[in-house]
Amino acid sequence: MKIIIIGLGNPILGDDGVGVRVVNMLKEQIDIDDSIEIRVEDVGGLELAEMILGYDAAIIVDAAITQRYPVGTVFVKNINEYPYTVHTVNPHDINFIMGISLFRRLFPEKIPDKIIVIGIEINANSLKFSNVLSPEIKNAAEKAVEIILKLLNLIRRGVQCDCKISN
Amino acid sequence: MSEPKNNIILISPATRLEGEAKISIILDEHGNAKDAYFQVIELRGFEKFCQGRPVEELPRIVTRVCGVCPWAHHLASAKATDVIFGIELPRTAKMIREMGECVHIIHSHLVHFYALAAPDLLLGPDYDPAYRNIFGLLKEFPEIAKSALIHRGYAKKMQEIIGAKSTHPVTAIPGGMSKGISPEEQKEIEKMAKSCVEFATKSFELFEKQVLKRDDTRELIESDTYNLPTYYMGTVDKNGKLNLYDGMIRVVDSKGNEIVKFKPERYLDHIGEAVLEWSYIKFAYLKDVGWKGLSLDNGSGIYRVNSLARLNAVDGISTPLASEAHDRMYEVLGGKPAHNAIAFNWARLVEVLYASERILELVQDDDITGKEYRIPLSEVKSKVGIGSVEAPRGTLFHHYEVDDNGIVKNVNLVVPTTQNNAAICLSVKKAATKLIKNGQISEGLLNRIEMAFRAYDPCLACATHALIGKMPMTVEIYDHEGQLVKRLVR
Repeated sequence: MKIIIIGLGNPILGDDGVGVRVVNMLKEQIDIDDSIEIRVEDVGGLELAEMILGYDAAIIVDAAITQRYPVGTVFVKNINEYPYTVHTVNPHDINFIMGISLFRRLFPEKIPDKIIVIGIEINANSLKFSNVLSPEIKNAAEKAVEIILKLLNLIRRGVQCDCKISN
Repeated sequence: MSEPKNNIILISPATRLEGEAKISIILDEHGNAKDAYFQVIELRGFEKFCQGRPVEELPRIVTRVCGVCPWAHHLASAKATDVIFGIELPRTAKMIREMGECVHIIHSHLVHFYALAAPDLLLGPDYDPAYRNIFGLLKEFPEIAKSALIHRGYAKKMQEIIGAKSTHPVTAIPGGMSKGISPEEQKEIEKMAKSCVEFATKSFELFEKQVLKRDDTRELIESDTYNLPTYYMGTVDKNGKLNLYDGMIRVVDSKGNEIVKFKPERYLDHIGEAVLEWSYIKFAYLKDVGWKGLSLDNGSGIYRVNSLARLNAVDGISTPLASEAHDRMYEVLGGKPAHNAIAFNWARLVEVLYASERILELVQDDDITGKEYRIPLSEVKSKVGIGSVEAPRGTLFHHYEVDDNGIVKNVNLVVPTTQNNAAICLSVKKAATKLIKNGQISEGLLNRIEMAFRAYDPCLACATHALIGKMPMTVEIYDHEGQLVKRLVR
């Protein structure tokens, strides 16, 4: 089984960079072998959809501003339930879910069976040029790492993922 | 932003938060469009973030200003730092950088044209909105749609070769490039560029067949609704031809007469920025003409940048196929300059062809694999460095001030959307005035108004910004007292 984990975000735009921080922390905690690829990206839409082609599972970690959850909440969703985090939409491009649908039509065999979004609720007002995360988002990043480790274990064992909100 | 005495139609994505663009259309008591405002709230703090850092770090940092045009920022920044260290680039370095900018133009324009503009232009503005997107395109024109994706992929691959990373390049540095092009890479780029030339040519054939031969789409390109006679700016080479990486900045008026031609480092002498109380971003104007308000009636120096503006500003194109495509476009549009905002999309195709041919020229010149692609830095030679390039969305200026040790003191970026800001407002207003009568609006009409601002592909600082929607549109209609009476969401 081949799994790709992508941390999205702008590392110099405050809490927007939380996805990047999460996967960088994750890299230090797991053994990277041929079955897993971890990437840091600042893309969305078509480009992001293209990036996950050919993998069995994809985990996308990104900041989100849903205003449904308290700031610092880490949520886990299947892509069909909640595809829109900060970086999966881009007004200069089609959005991520459209990108996936497009590639599903063109190369159905290359679409991962499982596409999971790990969203970290941030405050829109935190988006200022800075390479420091706010304390509550730093904590959330640590939680997100724990969640991904558990998730990886479940995916590898073929267990159906239980998508729960962690606060 | 509310004006209680007027009816207001607000077009904005339903889930947008502060920091995003909004279009507000204000109606008079008869329900006709009276005014239109395009608003963007800028991200703040970039200058402060850069202050105190060694200037040689900026070419890599600025790619994070925008995830959509990182290459343009990367190269404008590298050019500004070359000036600070007093370096004249070796030919190979210049060639590689120009190739990077051309590849970026292909990447950006192809996505814009095929994912955003083509559904309106190739399927028609009144095509079923549920399918007026890339899926409709795939259904009606499967081969070209697939080919567009493949060639976008080629552009990405070429970006990766030249910039070491596809999205955020890292190879342009003060004094040149940190890596050259190997003979193997030369061959690989040549092959992909040839294919891009063929694909761009096919895109024109489709454009001729679909857009120019259909009444509804041709009307978009020719109608007065999207016409805006402004000044135009672009970069020209020594022969007055288009160049995307380097040259003089040339400005023409709405009749095509040259108003001024200046070196990028003199931009402050020619570009002013007006402030209007309702907008967070400034309105760039030509100092040579002056600012007389947000209107073309009083002789304000409102100018445009981006694809069509560039082609309006240059005498022609140096590569053969793009030159033919350029001539054909102006033949249909009734000569140069052309003022129709929708034609920016056509001009994008001309530029894709030019960029593809230009890459081929550059990559077939054996100097591209030369070993002299970097000059070592010594000390700071100038405390000010200004660099410019033609970004996909228009002329981009980077202006840095440093101390004796090359530590950044000030940064000023003049981005294309600021330069197009006034024209975007005027284009939306004009489209709204023509298309909304007696308060009557429909999906088709709103789509056409959206097309007016989409044509500029304005930068909403999107990739570095928060938004959680899928670009739905919200229409809010207010009565005379400013009360919301109707709200439509799609």
